[in-house]
Amino acid sequence: MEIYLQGLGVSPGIAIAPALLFFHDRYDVPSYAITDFDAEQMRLDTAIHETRKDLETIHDRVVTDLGERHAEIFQAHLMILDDVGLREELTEHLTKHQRNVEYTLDMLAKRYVQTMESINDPRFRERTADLLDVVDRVLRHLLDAERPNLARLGQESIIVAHDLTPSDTASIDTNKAIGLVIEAGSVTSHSAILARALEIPAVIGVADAPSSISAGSLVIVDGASGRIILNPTRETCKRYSKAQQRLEERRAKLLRITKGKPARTMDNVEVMLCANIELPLEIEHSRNVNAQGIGLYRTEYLFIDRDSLPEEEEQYEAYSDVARAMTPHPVVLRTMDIGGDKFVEHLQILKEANPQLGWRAVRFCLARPDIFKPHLRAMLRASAHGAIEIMFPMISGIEELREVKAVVAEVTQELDDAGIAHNRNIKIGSMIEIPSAVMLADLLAQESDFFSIGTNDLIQYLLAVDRVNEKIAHLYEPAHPAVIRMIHQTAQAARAHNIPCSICGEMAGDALYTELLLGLGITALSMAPVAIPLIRAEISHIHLEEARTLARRVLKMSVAEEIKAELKERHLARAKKYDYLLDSDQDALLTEKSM
Amino acid sequence: MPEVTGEVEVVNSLGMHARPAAALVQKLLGFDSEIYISFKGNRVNAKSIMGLLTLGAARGSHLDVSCTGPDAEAAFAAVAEMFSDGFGED
Repeated sequence: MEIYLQGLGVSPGIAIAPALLFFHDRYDVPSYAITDFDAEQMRLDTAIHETRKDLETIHDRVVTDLGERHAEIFQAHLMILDDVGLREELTEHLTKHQRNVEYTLDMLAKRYVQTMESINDPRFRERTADLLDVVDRVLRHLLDAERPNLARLGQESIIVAHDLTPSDTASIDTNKAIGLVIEAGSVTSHSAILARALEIPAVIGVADAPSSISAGSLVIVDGASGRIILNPTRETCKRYSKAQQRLEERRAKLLRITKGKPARTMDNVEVMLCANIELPLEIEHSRNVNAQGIGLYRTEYLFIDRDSLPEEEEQYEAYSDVARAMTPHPVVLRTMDIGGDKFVEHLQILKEANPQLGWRAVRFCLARPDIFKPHLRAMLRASAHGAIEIMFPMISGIEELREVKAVVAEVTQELDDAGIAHNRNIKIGSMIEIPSAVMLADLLAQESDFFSIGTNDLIQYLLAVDRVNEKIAHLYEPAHPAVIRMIHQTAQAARAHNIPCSICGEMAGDALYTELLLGLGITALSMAPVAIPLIRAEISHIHLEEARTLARRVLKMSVAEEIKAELKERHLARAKKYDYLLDSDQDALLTEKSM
Repeated sequence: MPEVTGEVEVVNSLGMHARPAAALVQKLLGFDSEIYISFKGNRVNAKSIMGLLTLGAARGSHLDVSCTGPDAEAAFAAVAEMFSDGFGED
């Protein structure tokens, strides 16, 4: 029987394949007496040798695809694999107790974990998961186990898991893993970020995901709507695979017809389309879709999932790489938005009762000049290699903007004194995502070089809705009249002071809103690279004068449903007429008559 | 075989957690001597990150170090320096 599950779609697209259940359960480890000690030692050496080869392969691939810092975890794993203490003890136990090596290894690992867990400081437990991870890999070779190896999948599969560790996600074989279904997780979790970067359809927050899905059974993942279909009927499969095929054809076609062309409205007004990125491999994606720059580079991903802070030098390299690769286009570096839902162990940020209203972003940076100044220095130094601009998140008022600008001036002076190259007139922008910043947009515009509206947080703060909370997620509404007015007010203030105003939240990549946003006075849009061809096609069929008329009409509407109905009708009419209906319209895609 | 023993103190505020332990191991792998660290009746190989972590040595802990081998003196000096340096943490 067909079963529907609902989660949160974090990476769009449709995938249909058998489920591969990925558990972190330990193996059933056999225990038996051995007589040939040398043979047993040899088995261990071979298994360790094979595991080292696996880890090195994964490490090298991750360095290429995702960058050095995502590969650090595999360095740590190699270090554990070669741990001399562990090897000494293994040999000692093998000789003394004459039990098989799987048993001995498993027993020793458990003992280590027990000891470390008894220590009353979480820092000493950081490595227990890594130890178990490494031991699992060795056991897999010893037992020749049929355990799914995410790095080497036999066939195309949908990975179903309670959760994936950063090392699991980084090692995934992306040619074969064509969809992700995850029970835990949040929009900003590692798995979600990676799925988006790799453009794999993914749904998170699917309750009972691993336990309610049987291994090998057919699963449909609809990453745009967050829908999961188990045991689909032949009818459903046909419908989805047609939609998927259509989606792929249209994506390819869209890319073909829009590539190399600027995004220009029918009345010949150019709109700047930029990419939001966090991982190095996304630079290539951005260039492939002809992005006119990076509108949002989320620098905090250099800081999460690691034991120590990135040095200024490492940051400088990362920012310079993006700047060089995108030259002559601008690259907007957003200073780290740490705190909120992104906790960084080594920064000792304590769990707060209200992290979204807590010590995060510029609030955190201003309190920690020891971290903030090298962060800015790295950005300013990188500005010698390309058109770098700096954007500050969570600006709530004019004092905060002045404070961060003072720190920029201080760092600039230091660089000047030391004779280090940098752009002395670097552009500084305010991210508009707190309602108070919208109310003060006219003041902030006087002291900012540009605005970028972070609609995700703005909607959350304005409507007081946490969209990860399923009971109220439906209240998260981009078409809420209050949201529309806020965008309008911000764009007007920017225009009055002659600075550009872009949008870098999810609304920017949703074709439903493109016409309205342009009509409200938005001049640039920044989105996931994958969305750029669609938005470019949409823009080329929009008339800016009509968009302004639409905006005036929408600003008078009082209900979100009414607004959405109007926007949807206009978008669908255009997309159907010019044949570029895409994933944001999947429901329409599924019910299209011709199917 | 030369043998050098002595006491070191953990001075960095976070104690000898994963990062310092890894740094210590990386440093000591370059020595031929056998290096052991004892703390609260637990004796571990100082070239073993897993061993070091099981010590759970917080700030202010006093540890006994023993180095045996041709470069025992240099090895001990290296251990002592890393500890007194707080593993470069504070």
